[in-house]
Amino acid sequence: MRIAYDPKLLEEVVFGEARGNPALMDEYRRAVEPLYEQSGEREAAYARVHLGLFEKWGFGDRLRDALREFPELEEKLQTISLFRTASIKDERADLTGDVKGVGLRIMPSRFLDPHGMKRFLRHELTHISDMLDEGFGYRNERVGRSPGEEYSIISRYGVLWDIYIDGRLTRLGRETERGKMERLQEFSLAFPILSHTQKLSGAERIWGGVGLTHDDLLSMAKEPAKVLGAGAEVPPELKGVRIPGSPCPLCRFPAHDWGDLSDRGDGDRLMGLIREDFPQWQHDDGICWRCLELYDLKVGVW
Amino acid sequence: MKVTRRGFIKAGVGAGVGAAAAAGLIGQQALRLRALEPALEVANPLEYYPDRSWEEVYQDQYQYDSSFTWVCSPNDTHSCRVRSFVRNGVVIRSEQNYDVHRYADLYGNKATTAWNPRMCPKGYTMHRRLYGPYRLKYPMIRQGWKQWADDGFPELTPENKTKYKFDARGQDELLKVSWDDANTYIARAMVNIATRYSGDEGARRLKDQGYPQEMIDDMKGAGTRTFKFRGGMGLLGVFGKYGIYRLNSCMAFLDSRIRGVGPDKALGGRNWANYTWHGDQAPGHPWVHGLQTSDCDFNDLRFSKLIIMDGKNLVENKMPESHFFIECMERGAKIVVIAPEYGPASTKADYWLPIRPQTDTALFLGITRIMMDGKLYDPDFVKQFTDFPLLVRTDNLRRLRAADIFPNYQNADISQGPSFKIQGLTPEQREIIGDFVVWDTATNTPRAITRDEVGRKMVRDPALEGRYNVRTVDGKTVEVMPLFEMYKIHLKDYDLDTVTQITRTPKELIERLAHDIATIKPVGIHQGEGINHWFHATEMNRASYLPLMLTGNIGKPGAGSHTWAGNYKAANFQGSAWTGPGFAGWVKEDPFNPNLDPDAHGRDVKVKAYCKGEEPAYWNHGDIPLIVDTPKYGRKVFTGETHMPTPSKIIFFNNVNLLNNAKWAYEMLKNVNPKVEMIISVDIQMTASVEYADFALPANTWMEFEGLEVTSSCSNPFLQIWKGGVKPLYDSRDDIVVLAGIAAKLGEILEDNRFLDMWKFVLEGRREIYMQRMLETSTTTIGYKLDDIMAGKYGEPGAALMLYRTYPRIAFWEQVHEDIPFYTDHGRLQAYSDLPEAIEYGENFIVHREGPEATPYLPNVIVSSNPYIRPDDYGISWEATHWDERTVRNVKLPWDEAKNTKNFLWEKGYNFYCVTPKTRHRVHSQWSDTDWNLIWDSNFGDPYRMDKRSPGVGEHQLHMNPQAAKDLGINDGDYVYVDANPADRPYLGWKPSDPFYKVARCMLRMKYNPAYPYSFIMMKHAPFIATERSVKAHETRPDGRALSEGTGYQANLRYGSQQSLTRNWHMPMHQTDTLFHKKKAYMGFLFGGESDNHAINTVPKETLVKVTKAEDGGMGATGIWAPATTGSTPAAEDEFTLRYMAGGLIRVEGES
Repeated sequence: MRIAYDPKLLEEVVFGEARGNPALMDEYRRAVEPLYEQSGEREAAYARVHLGLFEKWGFGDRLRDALREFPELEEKLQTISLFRTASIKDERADLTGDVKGVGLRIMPSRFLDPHGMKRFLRHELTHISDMLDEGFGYRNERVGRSPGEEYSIISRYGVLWDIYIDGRLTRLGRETERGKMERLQEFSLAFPILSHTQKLSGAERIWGGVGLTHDDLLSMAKEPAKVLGAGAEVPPELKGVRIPGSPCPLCRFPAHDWGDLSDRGDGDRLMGLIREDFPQWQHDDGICWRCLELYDLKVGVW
Repeated sequence: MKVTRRGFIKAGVGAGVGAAAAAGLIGQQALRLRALEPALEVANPLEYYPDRSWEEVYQDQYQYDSSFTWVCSPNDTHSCRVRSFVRNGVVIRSEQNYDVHRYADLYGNKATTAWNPRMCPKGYTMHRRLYGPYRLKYPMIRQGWKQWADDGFPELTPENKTKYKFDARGQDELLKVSWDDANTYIARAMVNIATRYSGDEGARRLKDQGYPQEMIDDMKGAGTRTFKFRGGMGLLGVFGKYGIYRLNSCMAFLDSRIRGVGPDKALGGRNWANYTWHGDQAPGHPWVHGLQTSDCDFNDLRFSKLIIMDGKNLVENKMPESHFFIECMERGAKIVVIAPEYGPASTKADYWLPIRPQTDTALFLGITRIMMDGKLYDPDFVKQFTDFPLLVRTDNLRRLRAADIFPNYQNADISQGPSFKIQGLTPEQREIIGDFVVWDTATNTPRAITRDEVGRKMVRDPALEGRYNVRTVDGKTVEVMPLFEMYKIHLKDYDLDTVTQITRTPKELIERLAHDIATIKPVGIHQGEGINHWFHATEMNRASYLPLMLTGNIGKPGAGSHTWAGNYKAANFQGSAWTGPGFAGWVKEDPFNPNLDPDAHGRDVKVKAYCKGEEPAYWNHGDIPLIVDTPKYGRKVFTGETHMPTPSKIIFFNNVNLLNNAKWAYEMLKNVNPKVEMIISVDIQMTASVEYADFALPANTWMEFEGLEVTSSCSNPFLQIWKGGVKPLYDSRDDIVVLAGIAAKLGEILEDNRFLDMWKFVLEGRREIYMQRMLETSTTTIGYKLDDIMAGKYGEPGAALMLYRTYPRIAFWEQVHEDIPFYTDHGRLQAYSDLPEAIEYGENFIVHREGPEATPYLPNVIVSSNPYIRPDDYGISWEATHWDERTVRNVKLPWDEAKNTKNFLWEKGYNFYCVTPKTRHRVHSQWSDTDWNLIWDSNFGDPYRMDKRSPGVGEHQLHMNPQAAKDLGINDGDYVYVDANPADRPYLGWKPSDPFYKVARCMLRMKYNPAYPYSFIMMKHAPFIATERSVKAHETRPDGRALSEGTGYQANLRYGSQQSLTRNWHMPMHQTDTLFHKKKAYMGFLFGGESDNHAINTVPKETLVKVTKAEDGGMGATGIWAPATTGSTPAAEDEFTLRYMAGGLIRVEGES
């Protein structure tokens, strides 16, 4: 696999390394100062000098070392192109349109922190690995009807995917770019609709996920309730409609969100309280979430 | 053919045409004549011609018989003079008067023409309110109440409350009654109720009813103290609205008679506040500079080079004056908005700082830290005008007083300085305040400093940094620090990363704003209800001043931190030692010594306060003060004595929709008002407050006033006096006449002419005498003659410029330019409070606190690790959920710990902040029944009411982030429920079987609005609430309108209201007895509470809600609301709209 570098990236990495180190700076100056006298093709000459120093000072090896964790990429890709970016939020790897190469936008300062760079590359290249994995089933598609919806779903998708990746890397005993707690906080912000408990269990489920696919992550990004898993008990506020629009037998307001009485037996104190106010009411008549909440409050379980 | 004239012409033309064809010269004439040819030859054209009379309608609306000007004076601070045109005695239209450039003052100064034009669409439709179907047409009395009175006012036992429907006012009938009968019933009830609750027997009754002893003690035995009077934003009509407090003064006669006491002991009732109860005051302002509020004339904004709107929407809520800030874009200024949502103001901004609600304090603390760390401050201003150089003791957190360390210290003599000579400081106050101490860098010793030593009068060079040990007169060694040094410690908690986490504001924007404040001058910060309506507004107001204190952006054109909400400024008519009583001469004239000489000068009016201010917030909290049973100290009273309320037995209000606009309104209607024995509403129209009142007294509108009225504003320099131009339509009266009528009836019943004397000149039709007295004794109008103003001597009849020190008026201009003390105890802008209450509550420093409800974290947590913040938590558990426990619990945690705490409500799924700003097309609840305004006011306005579920031609709506709504399964346009904490809302003790619950639960339309962040919904405040009658109406009327039978009240919602989600919060910092500050309407100072000045500021935004689907938005409650299916609405854009938004409908030449 060929590796291509953005000349600006090389220059900043090399200069950043030399800055503050008199010996390296001296070497750097000795290499570039003759070029000031040169006419024509000077930029290419600078680039060659920078590339030489880049390799000599070991930055190329660091990159290749990170790539060795992904032998499958060597098989499937022809090139990896590294571009300089100034902002952490713009850093990412993506496949080229022909699916034969990878573009990687990276801040030059990454190269000055070998361990940090390795963690970063490991995470980004796992994204690429997933994208090339037929089992994962990645597709580049529109996922929302409007820019706002698209943004929201993609944001959530990104958070879920990041967690899924870091969970797998952790289980492989590899250092991740961000810790579990940080990922949990990202999850929390991406899914504010979930309660604290739901957030914990949802994030844990993704962190420990095995064999999740693009479609799995996308459906969870679109419908937060699915984060809780197929077998999980879905709380009323996340449930689908039970009997849409029919009136609650207690308050008579039309209800789309129903209370869950599945674990409330006839002997439950709550049932008794409801029947004090509504003697004809039966368990199977149902109850809207708000009325249930009130009676929960009365029995002290809210 | 019968030859008629028409036929002849036709024949002749035909001949001409033939000739023209041959000769060619006559053609033009022939064509011209042909143009006159009738379409049909008819004998009577009127039978056949198209009817063109509709054109006359169009033309006639611009014809009029006469015109007049009046002042549109709702609570929006503008007071625009409007010209209305009259034909056949009917106002047919209104327009802007375009007159302001003519307004002048005594000295010939004139207003800038840039003020023109002034008037918004509310003034434009005022005549639709005047002639609309919702006016109060005659006095009314509640049937059950009348029966109670006719039965001799028996004690209101639970049985009698039910018998006379005190517990079901909204289901009772309102009966037409004459003015004389209404006044007689009211007067008789006042006598009866005052008697019932006077003396020991009255106290026993109140004790039995469950009132705390502190409230009963504050009555001092006077039953009249249970009377609560409220003139709705009195400045909107200084005589008719504020006049209700003069009527309250007369209650001292009643007390005198009942208890047999003299003028020395007689007491009137309580004057209910306005500004603070609306939540409109910036409650932190008195804590910074000692003044009630800092604001400026709006044309001062033109001088700003950096305008920061912090929770303030100057576009929608300052409609006639918003151009002043918008013009600044052309004048090279930078505009910044700090708000959770991307609102109208943000569209004008250079940059917008999104922020988590109620975290603005953290933002400003972060900015302050950046400025202090980078030494981006003006040390001279900091030393001369702020408390940063004053030394603070680290042992007890009080400021170091000179008497603490200098043996036998005597306060310096400042009796000839501005504190005494200008600001009205008294010797007693001087003794309490004492002198302060700075560290003199020249001598390296502590030095005493007085409150007069500000600006250039401060001769020493005080230290801002360093720690020092001083020896106190009682022999202790105490470490002290300049406050500046302490703030460096304090701000360690507010580094950029932490502030970003707290506020969720991007780092780079925080840094950019800090840099801009440090480098651009002048800087004007404008806060509004987006700040003041939160529980911790005090801290957010205080914090906004910090960067300005560092950079000297105070007291200069275009500079300052101002607040805008409500036309509160009684100080526009403030009195002083050198002018006379001013406004107090009208509302507080000594009833036992009224001046009856029509020629007397206003200075000769004697003033004595027989009434006491009170916050309606106490009534709004269940008619109780803040008393909490604490684990550590047992029963603890947090309400200061200067604030202590009394039980409410009569509520009498004017020009305010009090019950509709009460936070937690349904709790008031259901549980609190049954304890009130008489409720009187004076209004121009049918409101929910009237439906739940015992009396409705109809007032004249601004356009019908039969005599003069006066107003002015906090946001412009205009004195406005006017009367109406059309006769009253119904049996209504000017407010002042309504009040005088009740006083006269009391005098008649009690055979006491003193009541009549107090209203002598009103009853004689000479109210102008009182007006002239006020003008000649107010610091801002002294020298004006009412007659001259009305004759147009100052440009426009009825108008003149207030006599301000500068035009535009600039807050604290004198302080900064003439070295006058600010109105704090030490005379400086204050970043630190050493009041015992502030220290106990952990708010001695300006510090970020999470709200007691609206937060995902531990309610009310103080975010700090500063060792000099030492709050008392009273032993209250972190698990406590009661609203009062959350209110007083003071837990201090650094952010790293605070961010891991939880709010039980958030955990229960109450994870939407709900903000309730003012509307664009209504003024609070006014215009809520005006058809045009309702149609403009929401996305669901429909004059045809195609969907019969709509309560009227308009419908209240909720704004919500589309993705948040979709996650909840809610479509654009659906009806939704908005519910808050079930423990107390919509009212205490609600249950599904109670029919009133159906009235009280909020249900309304929801509109997708991508401008709002995910966990953030918006519902404009003060719609006309659903009442028992309006709910019954829309559930039973064939047309489905929420139009009450019997009263004609028109609700804006099918069920509930914005107030279903709100409640009152008794903020402890608003209830101190020790805050030293300026009186609101007199040049003088006081300690502790004063209505509208230092008092509970209500906070409707302090709530968390849950949103759930109620009904489909489509017709017949099926499917999606039709407009949301067009492809042109947010989050449902079709391909065409998406292309349009992407600019794809325009092809650029040369591009494919």
